[in-house]
Amino acid sequence: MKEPITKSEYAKNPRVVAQTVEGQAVLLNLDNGSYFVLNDTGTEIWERVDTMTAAEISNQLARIYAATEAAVAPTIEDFIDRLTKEGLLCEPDTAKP
Amino acid sequence: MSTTIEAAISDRLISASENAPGYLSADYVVGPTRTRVFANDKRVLRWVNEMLWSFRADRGGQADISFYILKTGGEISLTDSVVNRSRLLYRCSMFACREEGSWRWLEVPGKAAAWCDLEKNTGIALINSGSLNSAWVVGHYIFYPLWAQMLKSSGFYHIHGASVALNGMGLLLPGRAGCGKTTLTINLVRNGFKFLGDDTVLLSRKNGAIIVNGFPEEVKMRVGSIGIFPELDFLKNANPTHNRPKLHFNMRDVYGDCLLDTTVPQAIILPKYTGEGRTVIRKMPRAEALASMLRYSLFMADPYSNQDHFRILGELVNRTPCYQADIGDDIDAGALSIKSLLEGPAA
Repeated sequence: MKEPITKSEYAKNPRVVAQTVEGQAVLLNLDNGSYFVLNDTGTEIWERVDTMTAAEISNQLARIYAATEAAVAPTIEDFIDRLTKEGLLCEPDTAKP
Repeated sequence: MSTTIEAAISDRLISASENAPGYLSADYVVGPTRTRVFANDKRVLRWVNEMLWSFRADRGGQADISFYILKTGGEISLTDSVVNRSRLLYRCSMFACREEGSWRWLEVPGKAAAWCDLEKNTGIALINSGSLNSAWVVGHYIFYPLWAQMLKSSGFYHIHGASVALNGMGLLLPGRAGCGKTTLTINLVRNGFKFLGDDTVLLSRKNGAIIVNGFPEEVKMRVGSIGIFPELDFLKNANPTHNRPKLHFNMRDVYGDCLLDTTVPQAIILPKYTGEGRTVIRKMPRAEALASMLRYSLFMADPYSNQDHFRILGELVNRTPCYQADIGDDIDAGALSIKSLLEGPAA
């Protein structure tokens, strides 16, 4: 079981910009031109990830998708891990434009 | 005797203030932006003019973008010093582009090197004399990437794609090389569409709309594709070369008065040539279309302008229906389907 993510643990990389089109976020890393298309759930997580803890996101999305927190939490944590590995999230202290 | 691009920069920055007397020059106007190309060999202007002929203008006032393309001897490469202090931005098939603050360095190893300052909108290229016979090296590898980057500061953003229009309704056809853009575009022009470009067009804003600006370079076709269109039989006598591997023709020479300067796109269609069965056109999720358009726009990604480029593409897909067209072997029927789509209520 992973440690719960605290509220201030992640910030969006300021060099990553996003546009949401028909409920799907498209992210672009301005420095290297790499881009990502998030599905509906990924977009829901992306829109919350810099203001809420993973537990809070799990709680909200469980209600939206009529699932249990235990069922959605691992997916959310894995997704946040992927966002971090792709350089789309960073430590809040390093999130300077 | 050879020189380095760094030496050329310092020489040229001094004499540029004297308006570069002694060089050949040609002006090109895109929207409100005037580009002046200087050269010390007439072949350079020939190749640039072949690419930019539709923007050709009489010599006017001060240029917004100045680009010097100079013939020199010997092998040309970026110096180790430039490579060490700059950052690689992207590599395309034959060239690489590097970033150093607002400066960009570009190299076609052994053949050419170029530099531009995105804040001063000035560029300089050195090309060895042996490469001057290549339209591709001069136009597409050395001039265009840096010029297109400088043009973004005037609000013109390139996209790898074709564009046509029918009765004032524009169609944007973004796509990679070989996806069938040219074949589809020719077929649409044969069916009454106006032509804006078959390989690259420029997006910009005008009166609240996003418009496509025509860029009607010579159409480049693969040898195997000309048999589809009987009127292009004359190309069979042309000889593709290593430097110009495709067959070239000017659309207006074959199809007459078919050119259009600008259009507002009413639909975006991403073509994909399958060559089998009937053509199928289906709605495409806009986010997927935006991602594809990034692929066809930011192959020359630059942190200096990526955000603005992304923004205009996002605005465009948000206000324009997006489709994917799987182009089958029914090329005429496919063109008619697209015509119906543009004229129908769905668009």
